[in-house]
Amino acid sequence: MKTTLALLAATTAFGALFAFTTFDGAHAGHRATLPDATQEAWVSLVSGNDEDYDDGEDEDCEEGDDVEEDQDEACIPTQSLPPAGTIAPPANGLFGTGAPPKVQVN
Amino acid sequence: MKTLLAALALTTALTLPGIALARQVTLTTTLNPYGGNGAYLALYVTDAQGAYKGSLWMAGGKSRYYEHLSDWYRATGGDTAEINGITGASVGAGRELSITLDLADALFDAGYVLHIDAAVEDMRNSPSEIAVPLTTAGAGQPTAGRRYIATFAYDM
Repeated sequence: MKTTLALLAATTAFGALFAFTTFDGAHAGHRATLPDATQEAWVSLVSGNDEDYDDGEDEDCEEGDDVEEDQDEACIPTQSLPPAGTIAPPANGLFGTGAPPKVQVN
Repeated sequence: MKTLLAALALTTALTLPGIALARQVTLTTTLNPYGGNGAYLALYVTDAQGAYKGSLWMAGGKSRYYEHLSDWYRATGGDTAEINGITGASVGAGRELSITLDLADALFDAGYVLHIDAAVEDMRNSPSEIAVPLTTAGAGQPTAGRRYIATFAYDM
């Protein structure tokens, strides 16, 4: 009897938790409407310094280079973002179970 | 005993749909040989009203370039919290990026649209180069891009 009740409680709790996390995220997204597309050129932001361009390798941002050269927003190095596959995706309601993505480039 | 069994059946019935609320989807983006540096790509979803819902993937690790993914940037303000754990390297010309994600079932056949913004250094930005409705019928059907993307398809 106790086992059955425990099983009942566990399945109910699991179902409720899963449904809550999925539906809550799916319906609570951002509401910023996208305007019409524009096509501006990507002007090199670093005065032709190829070392500062991301060519697929992870590089640290140089200290202060955004402020002094680019007048740009803060440069966040790749290393400060958790590598893909090591943590669950954002809880934005798009991801079903929170399983990390798998990526491949050929 | 019968009551307990009925309750058990009910809770199981409530649990199973939750498990089935997700599906594995592979997003495949093939780039044209456009002759430039690696492309930054932002894959994100809008709802039926065109409102930004969230990001699925960011190809390109330097936030300073995200403003060139102009539709994505306008919707998010470049907030890197949107792409925590879903960021990878930029994609070279002619290469194929394949991402497998566990996506919520509710995204399909409900008016949601998958967008891809693309940008390449010293070349023109290409916001919403791909904008494809997420439907079960559309799975496996390639969509051609305008500038940097040769084809995009999602399979499940």
